[in-house]
Amino acid sequence: MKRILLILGVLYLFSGCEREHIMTYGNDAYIQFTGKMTDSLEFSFTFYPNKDTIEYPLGVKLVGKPEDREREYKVVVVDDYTTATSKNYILPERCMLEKNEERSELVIKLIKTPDLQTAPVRLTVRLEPTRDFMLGETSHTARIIWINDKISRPDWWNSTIVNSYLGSYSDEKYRLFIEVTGLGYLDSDDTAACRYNALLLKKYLNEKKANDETVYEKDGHTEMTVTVIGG
Amino acid sequence: MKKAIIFFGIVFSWLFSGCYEDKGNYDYIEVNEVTVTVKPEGTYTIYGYLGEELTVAPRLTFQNPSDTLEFDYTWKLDTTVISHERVLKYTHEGVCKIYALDLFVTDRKSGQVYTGSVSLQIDSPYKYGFALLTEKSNGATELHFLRLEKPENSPYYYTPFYNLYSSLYPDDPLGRKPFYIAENFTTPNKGGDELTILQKEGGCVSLNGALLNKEVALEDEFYGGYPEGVYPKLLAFCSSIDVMIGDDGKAYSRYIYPKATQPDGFHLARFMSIPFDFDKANTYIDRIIPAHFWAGLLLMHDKANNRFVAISTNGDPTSGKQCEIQDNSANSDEFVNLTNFGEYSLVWVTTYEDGAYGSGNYRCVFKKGDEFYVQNFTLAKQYSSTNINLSNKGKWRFEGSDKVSDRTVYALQRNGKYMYFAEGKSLYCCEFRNETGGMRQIVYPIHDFDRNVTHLTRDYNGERLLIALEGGKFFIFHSIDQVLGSPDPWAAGNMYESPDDVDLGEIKQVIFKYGNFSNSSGSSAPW
Repeated sequence: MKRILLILGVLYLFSGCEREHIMTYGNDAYIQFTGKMTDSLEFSFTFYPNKDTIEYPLGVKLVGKPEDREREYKVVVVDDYTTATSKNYILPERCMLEKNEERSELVIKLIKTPDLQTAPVRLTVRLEPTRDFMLGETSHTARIIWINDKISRPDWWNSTIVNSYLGSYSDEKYRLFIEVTGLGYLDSDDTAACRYNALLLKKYLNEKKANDETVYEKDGHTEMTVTVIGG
Repeated sequence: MKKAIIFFGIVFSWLFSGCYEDKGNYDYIEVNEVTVTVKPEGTYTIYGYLGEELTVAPRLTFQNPSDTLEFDYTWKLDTTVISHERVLKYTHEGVCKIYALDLFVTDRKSGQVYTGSVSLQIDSPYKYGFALLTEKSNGATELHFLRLEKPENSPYYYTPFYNLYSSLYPDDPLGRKPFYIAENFTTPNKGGDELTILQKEGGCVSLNGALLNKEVALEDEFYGGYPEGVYPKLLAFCSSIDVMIGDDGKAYSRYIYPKATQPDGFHLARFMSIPFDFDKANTYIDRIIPAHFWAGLLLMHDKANNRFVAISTNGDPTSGKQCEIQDNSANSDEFVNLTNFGEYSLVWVTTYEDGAYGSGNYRCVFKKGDEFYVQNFTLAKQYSSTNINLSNKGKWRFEGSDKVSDRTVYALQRNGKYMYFAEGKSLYCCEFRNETGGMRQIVYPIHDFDRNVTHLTRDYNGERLLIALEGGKFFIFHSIDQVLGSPDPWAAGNMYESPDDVDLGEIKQVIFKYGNFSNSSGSSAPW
């Protein structure tokens, strides 16, 4: 009996030595976005005044080892969480991770439509497994993009900007500022940049006026002006 | 018995106290009091130059003149002991500023200390005087300096520092092909000055006004570099606005933000590479007329539209905007309208006599046909307005018309009384006398040189005139009433001639370097 108990005890101890197949990077390849699904993204056509389409990149990364071959991953639109219509986006036909690369850019073509000026739309995309990749962390397998063409007074258009550079805010002036300077942001502490870009807008307004094409505010009779100090 | 012991105890204590040797104040030493005076008569400040030996001989008055050897001397600069000699010989190598200089005279016998104090202002040796920008025969840019000295009880004179820049910085040449130099100041005064040199090769550069080392390239002071295809031609530094005129005839400005919003100093704001928007798009600036630091306006000549234009330069809400010169003059025989010269063309213009805050006095020479005319006016910018008021209008046919051409060079004494002009090799003076019947002009020759005169530049008050000639030669003429009234003004007033054995190079421009903004706006020397 003692011998039986001894044998059972040894067997029990050896049972702890069973090899468990833990998932490691060395064995399989996983694909995921670089950002979290919960960190939704915002894109506004406002800052691209002369463009109707924009190629919007989303970072994608490999969890595993790079290989000396191209590998395909797949992305789909999650219809239940998407309010954008198919007129607002085009997904790439094929998504490839280049050989020996660990990162890739998923480039979605965003398309400007008139309705974006009134309300933003949401585009949710999700990675799907392929024969080359399994899905990585759940929190990183989808991304949400809010798309708009709506303009509103930005935080940086503060009293310094009003008094010293651009004058009072209007959507029309902001749109024109972006169109003329190509910028949607000013740092009021960067006096040189503020003055330079305000002068650019002033120059544009003056040239328009000289050509009998005076730019007016939305009311149609108030001339658009800037208050740039120092000339 | 006990009472007797106490009584005698008190009595004996009192008696013995008389035996105590009083070592108090009976060993008196004869005191030789000293009055120490370090400050010069008539001023509270001694001036010294950085790197140059300064001698200060104190005036000591001893109560007992026969006993002056038993004293120790200690000189302190602020809190640092710099000498133990009675007569201070000191070379300062530190910072240019005003120090407290104290002399402590200690009587070794008594230990008594007597003191005298004065302020010692250490200046750059290149602070105040003429700066000459020249081009050597190989094209190299050079800077020479003539320091104005104030000796006691004798006339001012100039100490030359020839080839100054290359002697200070032989391994860091300035550049080549210079053509313009301008002085910039900070407010407050302690920031001193900078010199900016425009040159065709090697880059335009600003020099520290005290040590003349390179501070910054002008191109780096532009937001995004120079405007595309544009190179600097002229430069004016004003109170709140600096203006660079490019070789495209356009003005590019820099706004100096109010002191309340930024520290003092230079290079705190950038020039914009966007040209100034004048009321007329074809405005072409070929001449700037900087007035004193607080004039409030920068007058410029618009060659394309044959007129003056002005930019507001003081720190009011109009700063940096184009001003409107309120000139309704309709009869050019009486006064040439400043906003439209009509048949007249501008030959020369300058400022003189600092006006009040926000104003400047101007005199110019106009030409119509073969005749030349002198015109005088004052411009005063209204505070917080872009309007410029015009006053003191006057126009006269120039009595030197038969002696001048388009190449003539001019200079006006600070008080506006004497206007010098040089045509070719000949130097003349035109005296303006405001008499009952009107302005009387008296033109007389001063001197004929052996080569052409290229520049005439007055010093801070116009009492000394630097006459630059071709081939790197110059003279300084003492331009005062006594000299000009003498039978031979040149013989009486030729106070300095550059040596022939020093290669100065071709003189491209001469300015009077003031060292700081308050000096620049004063008609008297800073001593």
